[in-house]
Amino acid sequence: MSRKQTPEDQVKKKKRVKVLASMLGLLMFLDWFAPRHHAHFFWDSIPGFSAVFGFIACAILVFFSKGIGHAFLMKREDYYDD
Amino acid sequence: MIEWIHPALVFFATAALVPFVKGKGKSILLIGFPALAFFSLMLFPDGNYGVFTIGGFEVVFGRVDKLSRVFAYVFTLMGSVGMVYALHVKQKGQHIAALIYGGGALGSIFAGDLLSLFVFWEIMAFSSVFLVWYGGEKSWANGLRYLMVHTFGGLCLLGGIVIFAGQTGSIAFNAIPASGLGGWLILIGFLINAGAPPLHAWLPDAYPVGSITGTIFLSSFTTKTAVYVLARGFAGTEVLMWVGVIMALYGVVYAMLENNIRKLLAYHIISQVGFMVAGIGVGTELAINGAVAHAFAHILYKALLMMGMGSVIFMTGKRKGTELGGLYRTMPLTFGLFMVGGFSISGVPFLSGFISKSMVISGAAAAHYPFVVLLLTLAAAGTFLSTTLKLPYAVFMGEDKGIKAADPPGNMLLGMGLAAFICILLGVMPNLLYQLLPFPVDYHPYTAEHLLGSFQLLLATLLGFTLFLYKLHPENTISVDTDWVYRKGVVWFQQLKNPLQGIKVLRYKDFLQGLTLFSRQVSQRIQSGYLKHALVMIISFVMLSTLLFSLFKGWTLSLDSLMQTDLTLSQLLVFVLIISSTLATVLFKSRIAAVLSLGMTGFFVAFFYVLMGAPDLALTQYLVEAVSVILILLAFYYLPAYFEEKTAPASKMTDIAVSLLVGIVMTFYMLMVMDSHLTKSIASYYLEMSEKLAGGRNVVNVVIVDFRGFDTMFEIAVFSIAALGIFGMLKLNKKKAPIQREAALNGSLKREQIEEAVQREVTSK
Repeated sequence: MSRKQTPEDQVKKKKRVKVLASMLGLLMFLDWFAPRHHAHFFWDSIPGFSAVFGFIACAILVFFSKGIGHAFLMKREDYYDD
Repeated sequence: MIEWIHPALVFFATAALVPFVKGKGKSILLIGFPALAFFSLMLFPDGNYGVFTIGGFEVVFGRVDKLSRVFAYVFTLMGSVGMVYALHVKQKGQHIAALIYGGGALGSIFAGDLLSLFVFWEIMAFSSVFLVWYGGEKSWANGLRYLMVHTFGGLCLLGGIVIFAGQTGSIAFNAIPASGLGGWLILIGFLINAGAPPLHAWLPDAYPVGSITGTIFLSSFTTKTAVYVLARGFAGTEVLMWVGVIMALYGVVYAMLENNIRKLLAYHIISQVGFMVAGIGVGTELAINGAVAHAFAHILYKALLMMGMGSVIFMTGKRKGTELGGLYRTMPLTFGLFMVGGFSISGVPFLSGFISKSMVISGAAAAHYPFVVLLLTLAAAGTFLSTTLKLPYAVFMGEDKGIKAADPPGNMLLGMGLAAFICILLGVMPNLLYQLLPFPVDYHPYTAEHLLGSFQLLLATLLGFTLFLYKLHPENTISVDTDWVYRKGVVWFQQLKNPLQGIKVLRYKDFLQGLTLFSRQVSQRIQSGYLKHALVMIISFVMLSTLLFSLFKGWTLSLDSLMQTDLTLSQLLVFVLIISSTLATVLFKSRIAAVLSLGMTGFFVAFFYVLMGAPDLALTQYLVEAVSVILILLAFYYLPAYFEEKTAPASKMTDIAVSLLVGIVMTFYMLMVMDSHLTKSIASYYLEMSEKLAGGRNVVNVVIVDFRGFDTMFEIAVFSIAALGIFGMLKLNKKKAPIQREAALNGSLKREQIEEAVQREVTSK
């Protein structure tokens, strides 16, 4: 199971999140100026869409997988042995 | 003059020679012969070689064209690279099995007819199982299950071929229609080897227990041969598109849960093959090219990843994420090379995955399949999350468990180095691969929009990983998959050996008892007394029946109107505000803040109406929103500030599920209603008749007070009732509820405190 987070971990995590978020912000800003050659769908022309989608995708995957995993799928390691 | 050298023959010959050589000679034989086969492919022009007539059927052993050639290139290349990695292995049987297996794969892709395809297909199955069995005693049962599934798949294929050949009178292997029993059986046989759920469980069951070097070959040949035959036989079959999307997501979800490091990678094979199958299902030239390019790139980076984790197991003897950690210090080269593979599979620009995965997704986009594009992108984010972040974090970083280890022997490092080199080479010079693809390529992966999009997706995933790290530590469990059916389910089935026994169990008395028990449980569920359960029940029922209704009505969902929508910047801004205030409603701890932000959502929606040029609608919306916010606020006034109890996770899951259900059903419903014109619009009738029938020139007024007078009357009645309600609640203010008094004193309350307060109130009366 998840390890307990120490206050040190928390500080480190905050720092990392800040750095990543600012880099992401920069990319989203640059995205305003990228020329679009292949806008197949309406979201293709929204600047920063990939970032938002990526983050939501990540959250959905983590919580959905772990959710159904803990609810149904994950078993003891000797589940098949008896 | 030799007409043509079949590369499979080279592999078989090598296998036959292996027992007679030792030392350096063995090394040269094992690496050199597959390499020779690789170069021999460049010598011979396209065409049909090795054509025989057997029993009236034309058997073609060597159909050489662009599609078969590109697969042969990567198979022979992988044979050579894999052998470098496997050089240290003493058991000659392993080398022989791998070579026969590789030969079977090459034979399958050059087979121009279904009969020789089937023969090579079976050679693959029966030789590869030895690579599983060389994994040690613990792998025997897994290997047997592997063989059973492949035998079943082979029988499906054979049955399909016999039926298909009987109907068409030919065994030539070209495009096969996915219709009729024959076509479907062949497709199922192919899909079993591709690892498509629910027939995929053999793959994550067998690969992780295979021998360390054998698993490299296993992960390269079987599934990719299946990709080849699907591309050859079933290109453009729409069902494959969805099978592929399901595979891509299925593998990702299971990989998130997996603790066994090679099993995690095995699930990602399913996910990655899903991309290829989806590309084949889309069926355009760009998508097929993408699928083939992805197969090529995938074989190399997946082998690299498997080699990396194989080295970890080889050096430490541990195969679980929970047992590993902090290895970057002791195995730095392995770590670095593994990350090259990890970044390749995630589609990081300038590595091989980027130039192939983006091609599949662009193919689906150009063919206009919005959901395929979004879901595959979702799977791509998940691939990065689990293969490249979660897995190496658990093994190489994370908690240092002080495991004694070192980088593996030179030949293993060299094998990984070669694979990593090719990953980088293809990423930097994509045309090397593109010129081999079956259709001419007019595709440029390195555009500004593309690079920015990819980096955003990857960075956002990295951000998510950093935030949710505490959720992603490996857990000491295994996950049940569809192999449950033949591993556990069979035991249940065996208990019903005697069919008569089965009937005897169902006596009338038992039946009656069971029925009462069942109904008691059902009513306990439905009438639990909790308001929330009732709401969940009602909402789910309404939503499901709406969904069923619209499906049975035969309304089709077309996204034309959605695709044609052009959002202006101001509209987009309001849109973002609506979403963020809705999110805020969910996230606020304080109920009053939640109600207020819900009100905000309503006001922003009204603002949207203003922007769309419907001020009257906006006005109504403002009014309704104001009234409802006041009503809810008043209701809360009589309740304690908030409960300190936490909602149970399971209950939260239900909440999320119900919310998602409502969201998805309503969205689909609106889209369907918008695009299907159920009845003729009545607007023109109103415009024409308003003066004639009602004698009024202002059409809106006439509609409100005349044509739809009853409507208006009842709307007024509803408003009056609401107003009365508000008035009544304001009046109630004088007598404060007991719970509220307690809350005012203590701030927030626990459930017991509330019950206590109510009890006191009751007894005092």
